[in-house]
Amino acid sequence: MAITPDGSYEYLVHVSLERMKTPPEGQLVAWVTTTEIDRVERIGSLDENLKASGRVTWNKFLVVITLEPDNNPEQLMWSGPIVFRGMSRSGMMHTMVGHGALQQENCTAYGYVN
Amino acid sequence: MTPSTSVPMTRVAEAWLAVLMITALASPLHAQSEMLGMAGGWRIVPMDPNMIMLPGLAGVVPVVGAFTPATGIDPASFPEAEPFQVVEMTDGDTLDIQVSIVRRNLNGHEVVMFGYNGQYPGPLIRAPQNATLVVRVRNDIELPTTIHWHGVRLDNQFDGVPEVTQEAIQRGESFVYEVHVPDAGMFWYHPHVREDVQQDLGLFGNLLVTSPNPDYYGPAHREEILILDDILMDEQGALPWGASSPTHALMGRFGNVMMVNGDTDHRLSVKQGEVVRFYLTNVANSRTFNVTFGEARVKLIASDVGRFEREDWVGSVVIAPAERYVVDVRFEEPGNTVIANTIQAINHFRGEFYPRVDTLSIVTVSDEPANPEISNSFGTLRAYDEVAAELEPYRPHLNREPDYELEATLRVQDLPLPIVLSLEADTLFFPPMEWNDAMPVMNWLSTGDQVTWILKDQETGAENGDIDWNFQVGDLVKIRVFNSPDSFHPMNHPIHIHGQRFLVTSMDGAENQNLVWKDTAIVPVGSSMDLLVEMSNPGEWMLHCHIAEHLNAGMMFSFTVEGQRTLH
Repeated sequence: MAITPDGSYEYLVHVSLERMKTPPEGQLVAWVTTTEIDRVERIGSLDENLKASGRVTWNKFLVVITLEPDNNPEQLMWSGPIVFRGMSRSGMMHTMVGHGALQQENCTAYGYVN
Repeated sequence: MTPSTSVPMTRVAEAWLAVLMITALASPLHAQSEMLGMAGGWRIVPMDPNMIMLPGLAGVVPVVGAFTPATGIDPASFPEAEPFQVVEMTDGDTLDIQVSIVRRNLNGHEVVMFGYNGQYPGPLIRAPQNATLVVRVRNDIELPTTIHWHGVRLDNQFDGVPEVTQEAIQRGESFVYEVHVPDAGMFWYHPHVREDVQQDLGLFGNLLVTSPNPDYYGPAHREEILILDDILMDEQGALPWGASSPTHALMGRFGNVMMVNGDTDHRLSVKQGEVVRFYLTNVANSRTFNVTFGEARVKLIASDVGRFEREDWVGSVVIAPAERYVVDVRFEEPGNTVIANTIQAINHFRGEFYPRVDTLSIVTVSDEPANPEISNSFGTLRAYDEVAAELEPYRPHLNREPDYELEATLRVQDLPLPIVLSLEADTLFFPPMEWNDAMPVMNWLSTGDQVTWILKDQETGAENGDIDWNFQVGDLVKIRVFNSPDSFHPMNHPIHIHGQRFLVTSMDGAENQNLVWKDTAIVPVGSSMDLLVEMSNPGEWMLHCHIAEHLNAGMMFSFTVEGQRTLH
């Protein structure tokens, strides 16, 4: 089991774009960020096959692919436009309040905004 | 409301209509906990006060009766359990073990439990490698029992499996085990009858087999055992167990009180710079621990049936039910170091992960320096050439395709409708590991009468006891265990194989780079684990999930090995 000392899963993330061409200018870069977007880490630039891989140790995370002016491994945060985005499967786990068997529960009573 | 459904994953729209109809019954759990006189002697399972009761489950109790030991007898009439004693044994020695009722005080509650020789845990048996120990077991509890010598490659007739290797030991009866210990390492012993009850009530102990090689492990100042456990308690004491069949059949019974060596307040005192060798054993019914040692440096050395090829630094030790790990830990800083279970728990109600740290033990480090100073040897990672050499004949088999493929799944019937509906709706994400009981009421209400956990032979379609595997001594068998994420409610499974040893060669296609002989290994949800099993020991042996409730809900089968016993 790949578990960090704080109990988080360590995921190996593979990013792959299909049925698209390499952009004529700039560099596609893959990032991961928490769902609150308060922490961002750079996975790396996509290679000629439009693939990139990296590790992430957050339980829920977003994958963001941006078009950057160049490939700068020191870059801490994206500056270019977001081209694609995705979400970890764990991101699909959300509150039961207001859904399913608890549909009649008042979301705001539990701190959620309607 | 107990409609019968056998859970096909269809009719969802129909189901949602039913959900809407019962939603009005929703009520906060804290109100439910005030209910008195639940049917059948049950008390509602403790639950996070921030959660609410699922509609339609108020007042519902498990379909089986409640069991607590020695019901109606004054607990004061039973002897108070004592801490475990170390029993040094040599070849041919005999040990008498009495299985009896004891009294414990846990978290301020008087609890009637079981004990081996009146101790918690049972005696720590120390014996030299290749010794044969005679253990005479007398059963004085109200349930039939056996002792399984977990991980030991002993003669089949002493493996302790009722209806397979022996008849269960009835109350007042005895059985004599001859325990030959061919491998060095930390093993353990426990019943193989209703483990969910008997093991949870304190029937477990360690068996430490020592190598004749004085340099088997590196230098350490002392050795300590850490038997990790949990127990489910409320304000009245321990929650009852299922009488005829386990409760908590979906996820296993997670406790809410942590124990080390049966103690809820385990403590150690060490000197500054002291290197302590910890032998970790997880005897919990279902909980996998992620054990951390504060800021202390931790060196991983060995697991179930021997040493790793190479020692390694680790930040934590993930230990599933029935697994063992050996680590050396150096305590450098004076003060308190907390040994903890450090996890990212799940709140299903909020759909969130949240950090949770439960103290397992507090180590007080004095400013008196440890003697001798062994920081240099501790700081060096050793590679065990003899382990690597022993593994050479097995390496050509590590990457070959599996001979057998098992799928882990489950089938349910007659669960209360709200549980079925909730689980059918909750299918977008299943965590690879269940670190906590995130749905305690639903889990409690699911019994072994309603849930069948399944190991399915992919080639033949046979399930559990219908699986018919036969081997010869000397066979190296590659088994792939796939934990299907598409089942009704998937969960991790610690797979245990009796009487043989195996290597975990890969997980999800990633090769294992540091091999160690195992007898138990956990398969996360959605993962495939490849095992190379050395069939060295003739007899009829079990393969099963070691979550006690899963085992007692069907997740097991036996296979045979024929030929002359040939242990390497």
